[in-house]
Amino acid sequence: MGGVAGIPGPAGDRFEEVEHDFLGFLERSSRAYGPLVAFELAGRPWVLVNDPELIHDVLTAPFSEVGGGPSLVPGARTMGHSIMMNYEPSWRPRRALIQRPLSHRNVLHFGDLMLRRARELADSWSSAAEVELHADLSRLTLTIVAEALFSWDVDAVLRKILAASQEFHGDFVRSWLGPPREPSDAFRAAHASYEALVRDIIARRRVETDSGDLLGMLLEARDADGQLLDDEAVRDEANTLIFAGHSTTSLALTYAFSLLSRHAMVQRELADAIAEQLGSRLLVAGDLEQIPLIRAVVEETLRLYPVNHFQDRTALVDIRLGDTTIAAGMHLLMSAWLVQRDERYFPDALAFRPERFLPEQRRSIPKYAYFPFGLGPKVCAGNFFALLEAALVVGTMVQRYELRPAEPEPPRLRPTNLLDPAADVRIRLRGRRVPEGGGPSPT
Amino acid sequence: MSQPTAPASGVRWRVSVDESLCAASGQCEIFCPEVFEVGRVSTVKLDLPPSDLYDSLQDTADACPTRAISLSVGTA
Repeated sequence: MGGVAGIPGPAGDRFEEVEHDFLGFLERSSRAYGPLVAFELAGRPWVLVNDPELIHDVLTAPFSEVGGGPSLVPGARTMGHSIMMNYEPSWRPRRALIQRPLSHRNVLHFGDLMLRRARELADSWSSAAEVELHADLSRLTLTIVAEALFSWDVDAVLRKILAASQEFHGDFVRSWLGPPREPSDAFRAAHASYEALVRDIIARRRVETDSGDLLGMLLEARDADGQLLDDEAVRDEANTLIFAGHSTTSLALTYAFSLLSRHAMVQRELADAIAEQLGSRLLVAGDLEQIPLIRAVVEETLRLYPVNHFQDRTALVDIRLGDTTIAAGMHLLMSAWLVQRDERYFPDALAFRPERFLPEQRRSIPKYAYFPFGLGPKVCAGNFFALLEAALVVGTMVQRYELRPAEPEPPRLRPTNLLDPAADVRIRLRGRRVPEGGGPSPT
Repeated sequence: MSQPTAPASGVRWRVSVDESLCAASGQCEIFCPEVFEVGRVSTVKLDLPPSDLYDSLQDTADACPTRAISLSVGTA
């Protein structure tokens, strides 16, 4: 008999199994033991919570009862004490400051920038028979978020950020779920040079006029007591937007194009919907409301491939989940991968069916069974930015190209803290008969 | 979901939360605690709030991560 503290689960420390096959471990455990599974990982007690209502209870519990999980330790190395990392009372006013410039109305200001960069990538694909999605899309999303945040020309710093990011993401289980460990020298070096650049940018911008970007908004934002954010706070929030804001969206786009390439009927339907609405002009942000299938493709992609595939927390006091008591000190793991691929909540769950997310159908999705951006107060502050960016890039590319699979099988996964593919995902392209420019200015 | 951009003179806004969309993120309570209270879902304490809260309400509706908040023309 395994489990921990009366909650059923597999016996013994599961560290090796989890390190080798994280998603498989979750799937096997939930099948064998039900909605709550207790297990030990690197000497620490965990409970896998695999029920939408219970997940909601965990993710909306007061911070005095349920705090951040072990992933806060590695997370804080790049994101400091930002709203993503902070579970203290100071979180609350800061969250409002960050959320305001990222509201669904305000992020529309970045639509032109997103489209400009997406069209540049589309142009660069015109001579390519085959492309490696993740490499190209990482560069695209990093360029977009850095420009939206800092008005940066990122070429000079691109490699440093990517190096720090890749170092940060590797070695997932040991870094994120295992015992706390010191970062490598390579990570320290990459991160130090990146931090120095951000410090310089903030110092320079303190004495310059506002350029209308997110950094300008952070520098002007005032706390509830009227105080400006200090440099350290601005840096932490900026880093969070950069690190959380580019790798997630590039993976979402990678899987969206991979799925569309392998589902010709869905892709045809999407291309027809875009052509019918736009005729011979190029997609702009204002078109998205009229072509809901674009966003539905993005949302269905995030159901099958929830880039932020897990959330972790720690019970700070004894808490009740349903009829079960979770003892103070236990860590809690919530997996969007498990819930969002569960037949109980999504009929034909493994099928790529974007129509689930069209306005008339999405209400039949059970409450709390879909949480690619999290739930509760820590829900992703950048979700509107990410959804807008992903929809504009998907729409732009599908308008220009027919996407065909280079490999017939779905990508193999090697999850880190994000749902990374084991190798880059390749697709083949064929140009469509659509405009090569000359549409109206984006609005 | 669309919201009016500005209330016409003499017209009151009615606030409602679509519970089927609400993810209890609590942003509404942060932005406008006079009107919203968040438990398992967000609830509206004042469904016809005073006009001096309209700016704050617009911010709140815009910031809701699931766009569960609606502002519609109400009657006093």
